[in-house]
Amino acid sequence: MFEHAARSVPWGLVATAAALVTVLLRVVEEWPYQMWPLQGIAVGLVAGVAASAFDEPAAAVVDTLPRSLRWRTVARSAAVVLLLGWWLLSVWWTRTAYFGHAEAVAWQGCVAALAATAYVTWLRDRGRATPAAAVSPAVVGVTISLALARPLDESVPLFPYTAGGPWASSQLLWSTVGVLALVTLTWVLVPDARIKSPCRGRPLSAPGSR
Amino acid sequence: MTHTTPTADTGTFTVLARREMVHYAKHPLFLVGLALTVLVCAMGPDKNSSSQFHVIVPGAALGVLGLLVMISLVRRSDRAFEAAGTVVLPERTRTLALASATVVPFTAGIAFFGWAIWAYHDQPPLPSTMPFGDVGDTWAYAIMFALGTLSTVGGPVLGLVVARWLPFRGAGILVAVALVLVTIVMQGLVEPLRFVRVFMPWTYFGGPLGVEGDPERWVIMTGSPVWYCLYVVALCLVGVLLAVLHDREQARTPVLRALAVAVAVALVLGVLTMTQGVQATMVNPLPGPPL
Repeated sequence: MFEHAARSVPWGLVATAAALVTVLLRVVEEWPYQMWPLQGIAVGLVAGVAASAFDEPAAAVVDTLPRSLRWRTVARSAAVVLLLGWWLLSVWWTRTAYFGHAEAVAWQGCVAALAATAYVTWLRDRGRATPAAAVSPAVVGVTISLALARPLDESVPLFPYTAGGPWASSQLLWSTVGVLALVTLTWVLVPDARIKSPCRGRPLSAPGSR
Repeated sequence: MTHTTPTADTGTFTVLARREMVHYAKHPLFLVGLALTVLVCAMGPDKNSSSQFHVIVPGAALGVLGLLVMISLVRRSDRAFEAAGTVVLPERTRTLALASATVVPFTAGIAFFGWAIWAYHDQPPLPSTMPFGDVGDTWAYAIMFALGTLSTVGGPVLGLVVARWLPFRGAGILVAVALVLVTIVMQGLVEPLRFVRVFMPWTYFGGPLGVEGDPERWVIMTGSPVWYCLYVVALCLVGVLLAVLHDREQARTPVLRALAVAVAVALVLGVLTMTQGVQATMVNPLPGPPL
C-alpha cells in the first residue's frame, strides 16, 4: 500500500504546497488584520492539493486490476494524512494569528481536504480518470476569489475575520460540510453502504473489483 | 535537409481565435467569476470609499480565475491538436488564438469599469477617504481601469505563460497562490517597499493604512496610476511574447527582439510610474471614517 502511494501521489506538488501553506500562515501571523485573506487561501490550497492526490491518469489500466478503488483511495490517502498533519502543525506554530480561533481554522483545513477527497473519489467512481485536473484549480481559484472579495461574508461565513466574527456559525457550516463529505466518502467506498444499480458505476471496472 | 513547418493563414487564425473565445466564454470558472463580480456590484458601492475598492473583485474573480481558465484552455487546445495526429497548426498560431480569447474577460472588465465610474459619481467617496488634496478623479479612474479592467487580461495572459513554460501538474494553482501572496505583501504595508511596489502587476495606490495616533487615517501612496495603466499593458505584451517564444518550430529571433523591446518599454514605463505623480505619501487631513 505504501509503495502504491509512493509511486502514484504527486509528492513534489504536495511538498511544495505544504511549504507554501506554512509561508501563507506565517505571513498572516505577522499582519493578521491586513493579510487575513491568505488564511482562507491556505485552506483552499490544502483542499486543492488533497484532491490532486487521487487522480489516476492510468485509470483505463488500473480500473481493470484486482486492487479496488477503495484500496487505492486508502493508499493515496497517505498524502492527505501527511498534508493535514503538516497543516495542523503549521496552524499550531502560527496559533497567535487567528484571534483566539486556531482550532476553528485547523478544522476548516481538515474539512476542506475531506470534502475535496470525497468529491474527487465520487468522480473517480463515476469513471473520471483525472477529476482533480478540473476540481483542483476550481477549488483553489474560487477560494482565492471568495477570500479576497468576501461577497457573502455575513450570510455564508466561510472565513470569519477578527475576534468578533461569526465563528460559531462558521464552525457549524464547516461541520455540516464535513458530515456531508464523510457520508459521500462512505457511500462511494463502502460496498454495503448502497444498493448498486447495474447501469451505473465505472465502465472500466472488472467484475468484483470493488 | 529541408525543414518544413506548418503555417496558418489569416482565415484559419480567425476561426481558431473565435473558437477559443467561445471556449473561454463557456468555461465554468469564467462564469463563476463573472457571477461573483455581478453579485458584488449588485450589492452596491461602499458607503465610505464608493466603488474604489471593488477593483479587487474582477482582479480576483476574473483575473486570478482567468489564469486558471487559460491554463485549462491551453491544455485542451494541446490535447485536441495531439489527438489530430498531425500538427495542422503551429503552436504559435494556437497561442495567439488563445491570447485573443482574453477579449472575453476584458469585455467583462470594461463593463465593470462602466459600473465603477457610475457608482463613483452616484455615491461619491467621503472627503475623509480618497482621493483628496491635489489628487483628482482621473487618478481614481486610472486605478479602477488598471486594477479592475486590465487585471482581467493580465491574469489569463499569465496563465498562457505558465501553461507554455511550466507544464508540470499543479503549476497553475501554485502560481495563482504565490501571485496572490506576493501581491498582497506588496500593497504598501511594508514602508521601505512602498516606492517600488508599482512594479507589481496589481497594487493599491492608497487606503486606510493609518498614521501614528490614527490607525484608520487614509493615505495616498507614491506613483502615477495613469503611467501604471500603460505599464500593465506592456506587461501583458511581454507575457504574450513569452508564451509565443515557446514554439521552437518557428523562427524565434524576431520574437526575441520584440520581447527585448517590450521588456525595455515595460521597464521605462515602470520607472515612470514610480517617479511621476505623487512622490511622497500624502495623509488625509481629515480623520478616517469608522470602518
